[in-house]
Amino acid sequence: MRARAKRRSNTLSTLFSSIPRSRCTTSGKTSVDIRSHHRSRRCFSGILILTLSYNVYWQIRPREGSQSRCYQKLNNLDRKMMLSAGPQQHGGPTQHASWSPYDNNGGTCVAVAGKDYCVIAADTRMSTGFNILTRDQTKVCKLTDKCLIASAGFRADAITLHKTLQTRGIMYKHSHNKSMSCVAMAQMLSNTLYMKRFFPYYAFNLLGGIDNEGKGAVYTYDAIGSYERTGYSCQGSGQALIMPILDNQLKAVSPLLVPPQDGATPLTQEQAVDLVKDCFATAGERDIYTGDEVEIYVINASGVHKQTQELKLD
Amino acid sequence: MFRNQYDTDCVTWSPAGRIHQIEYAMEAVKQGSAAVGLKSKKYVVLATLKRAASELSAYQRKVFKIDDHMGIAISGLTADGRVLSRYMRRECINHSFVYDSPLSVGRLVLQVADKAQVCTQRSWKRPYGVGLLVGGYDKTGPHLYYNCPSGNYYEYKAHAMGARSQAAKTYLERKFETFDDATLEELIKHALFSLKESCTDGELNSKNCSVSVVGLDTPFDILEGDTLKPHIDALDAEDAGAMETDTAPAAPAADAPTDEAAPPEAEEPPAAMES
Repeated sequence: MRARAKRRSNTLSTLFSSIPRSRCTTSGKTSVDIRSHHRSRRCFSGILILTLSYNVYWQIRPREGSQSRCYQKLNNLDRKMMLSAGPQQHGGPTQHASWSPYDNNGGTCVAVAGKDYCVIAADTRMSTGFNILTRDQTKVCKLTDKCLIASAGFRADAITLHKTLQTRGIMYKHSHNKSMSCVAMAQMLSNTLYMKRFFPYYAFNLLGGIDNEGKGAVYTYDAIGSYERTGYSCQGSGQALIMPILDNQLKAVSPLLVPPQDGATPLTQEQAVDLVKDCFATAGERDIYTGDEVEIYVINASGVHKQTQELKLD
Repeated sequence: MFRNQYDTDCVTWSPAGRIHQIEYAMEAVKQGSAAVGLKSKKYVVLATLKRAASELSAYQRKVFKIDDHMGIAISGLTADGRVLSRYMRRECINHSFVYDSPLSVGRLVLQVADKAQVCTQRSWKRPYGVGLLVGGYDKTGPHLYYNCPSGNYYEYKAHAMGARSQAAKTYLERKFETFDDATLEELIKHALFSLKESCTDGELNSKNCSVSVVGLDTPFDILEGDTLKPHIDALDAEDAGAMETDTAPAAPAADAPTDEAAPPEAEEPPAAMES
């Protein structure tokens, strides 16, 4: 008992104390060596573990300037992914999300409705970020002889939307033996946009044309199809710059009035075109995404007429 | 063609190696009123004689626009023709949307022919009872095809189908060598002349006739009623001695009967309604 207690009291002393002999079957060593053999193996593995953990600690210990204690166990890959997820709270350069299905290609559209005409115009600059992709891309699409659509925003979505509407217009013409009216097209555009309510077309639309009674019509939309018939509107990057000018010159009637009032402007066609040209020249001065050229379409009883106006290239 | 024991359905061969149901379907085309097609180097013209079901009804449409560069004239069961025209329109629209270019006439005709063949090899289907004259202009030039209920299709310089079409064919065979270089006006005139051969008493007016034109820089357009009148008048002026213009033109019975019995060939006063 005492001997046993002695042996257990000090682990280190047992390494060197004498012990009863017996033979280890696996290694062939005698008992004197056996226990020390096993102990030395244990000791060796103990030292090994200490060394390894020492190394590991020094590798993953919290470094100078790291975010906080709780991240110390992450490897580099996880840290990179976290940094890309959002801007750092603790200083350093701002990072952005790595991929988005949308892009904003900039540009501005304007439309004005008159008594028997409609003017719809859009610039031709296509940009991404701070770069210009092209100076010569139209935003306007002719849907019928009496209806045009102009879309600012993401060009790919706008193109697909225009193609879809054109195709539906052709199918309508085959079935009904007549072209789709502007009013019908306006409703269909709203429905088409809302169908993609949870992955919208990134296109801000203006529909301009002649309604069934021969009066000018402008319909303005948001990205998911909420729409309103107005006397004038604008969309796109220059919207905030142009809208006040149009409000000042054309003075919208309130949509709350009952009975609903006609919003069409009393201006003549030439005056409306001049106003639109002025609007674009103004927006082009301050908005970097608007410029190069404006395409101005006038729709009236005799059809669709196009003219262009140059803008500043800066 | 006489009734025999191998004609119950279109999945039975006769000992002579024929499928009678398909041949009967081709007979249905011959029961429809006449339609004529001809082409030059630049244009394709389709001309049709329209029928009115009765004195009170409108004339039934026989020419359908498929796309800006293509159209068809039908003869036989109008309902089948309408269904096929809807199919063709859908194919053209889809091709334009996906490839941003017009569908070639020959390609579409092949697709229609394959669709018709399917109906000749299913026990639960019947062959289409309509013949199509497909006229179109694509980047290989003007084309005129005839689609048969059997699932065959043929390309033609000029062709006629429907009731009394042999007379029209004879006219076309005499004149077809002049078609290549003919102007559009001359081509329309030839079409109307050949159609006149198929009329019971030679009465062709702007009400019972429908002409369509498609070609180089010419999107598919249908001339009917007022737009056709100048051409009919020019025809009459030229042909003053040849045919007598009658005050009681023929309006034979319906183009698409629900039963397949031969329609009565009675002379009736013109229909009251315009189509």
